[in-house]
Amino acid sequence: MRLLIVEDTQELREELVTFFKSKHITVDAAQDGEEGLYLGSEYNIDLAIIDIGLPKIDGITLIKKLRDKNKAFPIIILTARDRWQEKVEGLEAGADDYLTKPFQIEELAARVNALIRRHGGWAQSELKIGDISLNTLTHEVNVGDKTINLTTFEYKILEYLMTYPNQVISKMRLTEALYSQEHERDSNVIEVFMRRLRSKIDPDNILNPIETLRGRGYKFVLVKDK
Amino acid sequence: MNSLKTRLSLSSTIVLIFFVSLTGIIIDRAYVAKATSSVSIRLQSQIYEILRKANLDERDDLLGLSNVTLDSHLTEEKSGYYAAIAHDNKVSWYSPSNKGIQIPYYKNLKPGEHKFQLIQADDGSQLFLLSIGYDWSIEDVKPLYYTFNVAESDITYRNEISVFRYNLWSGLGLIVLLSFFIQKLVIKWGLKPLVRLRNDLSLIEEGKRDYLESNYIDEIKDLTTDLNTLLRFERARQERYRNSLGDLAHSFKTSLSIINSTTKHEIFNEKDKGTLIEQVDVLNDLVTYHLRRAQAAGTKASLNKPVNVQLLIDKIRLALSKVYKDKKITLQLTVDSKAMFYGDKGDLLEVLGNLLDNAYKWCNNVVKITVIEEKKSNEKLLTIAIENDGPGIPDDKQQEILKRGIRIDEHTPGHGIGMSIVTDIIAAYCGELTVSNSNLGGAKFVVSFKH
Repeated sequence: MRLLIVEDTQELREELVTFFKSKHITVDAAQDGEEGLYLGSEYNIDLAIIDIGLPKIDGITLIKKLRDKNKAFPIIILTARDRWQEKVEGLEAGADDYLTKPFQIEELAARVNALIRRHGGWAQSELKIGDISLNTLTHEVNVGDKTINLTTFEYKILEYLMTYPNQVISKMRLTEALYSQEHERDSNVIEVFMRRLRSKIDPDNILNPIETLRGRGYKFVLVKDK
Repeated sequence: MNSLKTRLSLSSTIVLIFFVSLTGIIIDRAYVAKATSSVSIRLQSQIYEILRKANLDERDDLLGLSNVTLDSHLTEEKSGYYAAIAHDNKVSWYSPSNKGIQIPYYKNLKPGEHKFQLIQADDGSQLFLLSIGYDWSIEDVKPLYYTFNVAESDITYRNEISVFRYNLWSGLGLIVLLSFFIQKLVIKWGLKPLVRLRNDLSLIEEGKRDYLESNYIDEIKDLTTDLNTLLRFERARQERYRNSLGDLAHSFKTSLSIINSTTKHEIFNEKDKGTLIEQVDVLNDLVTYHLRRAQAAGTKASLNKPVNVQLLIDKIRLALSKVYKDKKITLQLTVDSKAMFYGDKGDLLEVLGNLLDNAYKWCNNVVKITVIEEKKSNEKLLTIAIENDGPGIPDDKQQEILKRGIRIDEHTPGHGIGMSIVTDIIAAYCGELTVSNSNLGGAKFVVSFKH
């Protein structure tokens, strides 16, 4: 997952970045609306956490500009101005949820998880498609009743693909979800991880959950139970 | 007398009546003087006529006139016209018209002496009497002094005056009446700019206009300019005040957020973490409560445009539908689309936002919103009912929620600061809030505002 955090207060921004990175989530951080707009437009963001009171471009305007650019990722607004007028303005502008300061960071994390799942069409914290189940809270992956041990990056790839089942996820998007901008990326590393992931979750090539679409990306093709 | 129109009408009517009356009196007096003078002139010419026709009888030195030479009105008995000549202190000649009437003629006026007056005859009738003393002396022989008298009944004079007065006062009365109606029109036209100002102020109160127009008459132009400046200033001041409070909240709460997240650090033991988090919550609650209370306008000041309730409810429910997307909620709406709230939009948003958020939070599947506006005599009653099918609020807790200014650390779990703000705002508008059990099974909150 790739998260964008736009918060002008340095201490809070760093706390949030540190926290989400500890959850193995790739994080981009911006200190003002202008930078937030750039990062939100340039990268494949899965969710943005935006403070309302930002310098250069305020939070509400930033949200509107992102939506105008057809950026459909979920947005949580952080606001100290907890009058309903401000909450309604933020949600009308295009945000999907709000959290008032001060907040418990665990609550923010839970809302981030919930929104990402909801965005991918998931109502619960456990993603189960066919025989493969993945718990976004415990990071446990099971194929049938067998628990599979995955590395951090292997887990992140599987979680990403299962969050957006039946959608073509480009290599670029996967790369951005795995790595922050300061990391050097090898274009072949995704293929290496994909090979390893397939060998762990489908060693006998029976399930074939992940389809490679040459030149386009990858798709998780197993069908969700209704 | 609080009406400018009444003051102007009354004062101008009084002035009109006074001056018309004064004019009438002056004209009347002038006419009477003229009429009296005409009688005098007429009688004088009559005397001259008699003088011309009089003959001296040298035997007894008495002047007389033959009836043949007399005008007919002097020969007819009690005609109203009379003449007499007096000599040596007694009347020596009477016109035939004197028969049957006794008139106190002058008998001994000195030559050149002139008397004109209104007298009364023996039958009670009023007569104008002109008497002139005349020297009929024959040259150097002997002095012969005579007094010539001519009298005329005042009946004609009085009739003339009477007709004149009738015409004068009825004419003046018509003028007063006509002036009164014209005056009303003039006052109405003259006060039109003030009426327009009053109507424009009503439009501002109703929210149909933001400011007064600029093309008023010179006398009130400064006033309207000043009013617009005041409106502009007051709105800007309110905005600045709110923004300042918002900025304060932002800065303060951001710092609280940093403290909050810092409690995760390992340097704090669990007990200290708990204490820190608890105190951050208390500080947050205090700041939230008092800042939001300060930001609430809580006024029916005419600066605010009336707010369409349905539009606000639509905004909030769309916002809440995003937040509670995972919950399948059925919304039952019965909203009067013309219902208006006469107060600050932000205040109503706080009330509706908090009540609806609670309803969405606590409901199972159903939230019902009913908005009615009733008109009773000269006031409107806006009623908003929000209910849900959740667990409801126990009867013994329902009244606690309605206590204003309850201490933050005693608030009902799950209803938070929001309800304190709601009750404060409703009280500021002299509205009412009731809590009861809904037919749906959950809680029912009913808010009402009078305007």
